[in-house]
Amino acid sequence: VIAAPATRRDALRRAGGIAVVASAAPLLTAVRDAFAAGGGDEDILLGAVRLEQSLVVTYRTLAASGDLDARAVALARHFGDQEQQHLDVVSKPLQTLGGVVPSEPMPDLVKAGREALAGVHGQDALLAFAGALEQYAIAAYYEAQQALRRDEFLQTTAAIMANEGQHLALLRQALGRPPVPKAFETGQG
Amino acid sequence: VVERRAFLAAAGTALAGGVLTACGSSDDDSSGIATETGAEQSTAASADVAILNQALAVEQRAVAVYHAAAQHLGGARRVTAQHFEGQEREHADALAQAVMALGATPATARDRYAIPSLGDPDAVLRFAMGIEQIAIAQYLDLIPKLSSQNLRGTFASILAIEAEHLAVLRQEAGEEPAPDAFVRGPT
Repeated sequence: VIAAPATRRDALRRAGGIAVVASAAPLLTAVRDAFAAGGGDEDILLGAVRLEQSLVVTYRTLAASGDLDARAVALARHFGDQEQQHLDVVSKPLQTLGGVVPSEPMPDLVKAGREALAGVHGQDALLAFAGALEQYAIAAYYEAQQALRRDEFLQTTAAIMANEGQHLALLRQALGRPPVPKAFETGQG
Repeated sequence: VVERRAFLAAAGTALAGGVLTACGSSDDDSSGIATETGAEQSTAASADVAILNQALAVEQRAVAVYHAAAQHLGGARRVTAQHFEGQEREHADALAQAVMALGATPATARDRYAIPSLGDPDAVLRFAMGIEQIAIAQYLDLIPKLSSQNLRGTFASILAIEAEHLAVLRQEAGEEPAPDAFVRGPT
């Protein structure tokens, strides 16, 4: 759990072993709790849409930040493209179930994202921010595996969770950390 | 280790609870919502045991493959193979304990596994990648078949690790480490 900083000195917090600025807290919390209100499959899919929208926007912003070297830009673009594919796929069954797919990220998420990224500067800090976001997304998908009912949704979200795990491993590696430090990826620190 | 113990405690408690409550359950509760009968829950637990043992066999084979791979690799690659072997062993231990929590006997590892000659380091990497892809496909297939919600989460947490292993191995082999937005196993 990330607490709001009392002082600038407290600005750096750790999310799952990755240091991030405390301004990232609202966005990270929103991602972590994306499925918290979910009662049924439709609610969980809506949470997944919002979560993936946050990831798409974040990676696009990172790629355009000017703070990343060419290799990191390529990584951010590739991951952003994959998040867009996740978004497209989780949106379709939500429409089939009669749910309304938000066309744009929720204003509160956009605001949280803007505030989070405004406080993040430099390649390592930006990649750490992305890593923290991925970790929280994995935690959300991990919980979804225990709540979803339909077989096809279980398999689709598990396949997405596995891809987010790959993103996290490669981000850790880019930060000079062991890529697969634990035997179970639950999104918990 | 703490995380694994916590998972096992949670999984064991949930599973044991399911078996115990099976004795007195009925078709419908007071709210009118259909619930499983004792026989249905017992059958579901038996099915989960079979699924756990199927996953256990996958992990036991992965342990053997990484153990063999480490013999044929050097330097950082050997360290990676040994690290992954240790993580596959953790998966196997967790799955075996989950089987025991259901009152059943875990499948035992074979004395030998069919592993081809692994002289060339690139061939070693590719063989390990194939094993990971098969494991990923197995876990994706098994997750919806589990009746225990806790075990579904556990299988997904292992699946994600196998996907991470695959990404690292691909990178070592000079390939794109995460080419697919949906990790589904062999393509």
